[in-house]
Amino acid sequence: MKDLYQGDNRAMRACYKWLPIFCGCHQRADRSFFVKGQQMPVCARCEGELIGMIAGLILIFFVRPDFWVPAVLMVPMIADGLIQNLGHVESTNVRRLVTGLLFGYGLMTLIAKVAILCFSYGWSIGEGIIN
Amino acid sequence: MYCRNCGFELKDNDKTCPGCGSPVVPLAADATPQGRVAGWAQKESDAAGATAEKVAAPGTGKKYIYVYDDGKEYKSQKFEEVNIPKDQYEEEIKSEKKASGTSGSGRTYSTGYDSGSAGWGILGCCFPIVGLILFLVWKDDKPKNAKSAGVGALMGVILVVVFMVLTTILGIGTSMYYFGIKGLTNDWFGIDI
Repeated sequence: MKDLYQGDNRAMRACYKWLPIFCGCHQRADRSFFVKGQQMPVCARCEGELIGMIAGLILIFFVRPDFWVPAVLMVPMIADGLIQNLGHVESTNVRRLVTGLLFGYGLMTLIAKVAILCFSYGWSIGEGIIN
Repeated sequence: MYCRNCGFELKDNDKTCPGCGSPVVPLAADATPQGRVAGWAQKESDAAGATAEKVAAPGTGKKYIYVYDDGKEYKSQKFEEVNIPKDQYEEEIKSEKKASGTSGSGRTYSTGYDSGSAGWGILGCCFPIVGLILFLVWKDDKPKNAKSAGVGALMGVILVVVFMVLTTILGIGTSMYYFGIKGLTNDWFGIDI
């Protein structure tokens, strides 16, 4: 395992240990951002996804797009990955971040919408039982 | 020069390989290719005594020939890519060894195509239909990839179904709780919540 973070901050150490595992990240130096010379715990794509997912979790309380919107938002990252792997055209970190952002938001919104649907359905069943 | 691990063409000031991320190891003038991509590399000598090593670049199915001659190296033409099953390849190697005492026949099987990598599992998990199709298409030639994609698809479907069932049950429970409490407080105390 690479030891990317050498400092003393325990919270940072935990981040550097668990975030890559949670994301399944390769932590490749040429595909990550560097802040003041310190490599980020996850690659550009995973960072975008994480931010997007957090944004999705927050935004679902304010906006409820139709199902096709998050589905479409997930396409750019898949296209970027496929073009890179099959077409052998290297992507850029900014592109990875942005497509990851859209994908993370789309995925979390999809999950949240499905959860809301199922919960409402269950709610109506429960209401019917009691009343 | 070329990456020792995956064959990617490197620029002179590259410290890590852009193809696979492994560190760039400069070649000494009299070094011989050794110990790379174990099990894939074959060495053979031609009449002039230059050694050529055929290396398969993992995961890409691409093969290159590196020829070391006076410490120089260059990428030669792709040698024949023959897609034969692993057992047949091993049989051929064995029989050629017996016959001529050398190893290597200029043929190799493209193990890069059936890596059984988890990536196919993840793809199958995200798109179970794709995983199912890949499983059916690959189950004979690339069994490891097929298994990865198939297991991914199955897990994806199971995960989604379990998630939906649990959320629905949560909804039922919460509403029963809410309406139950609502009814009770109305009956007992005449309060409307």
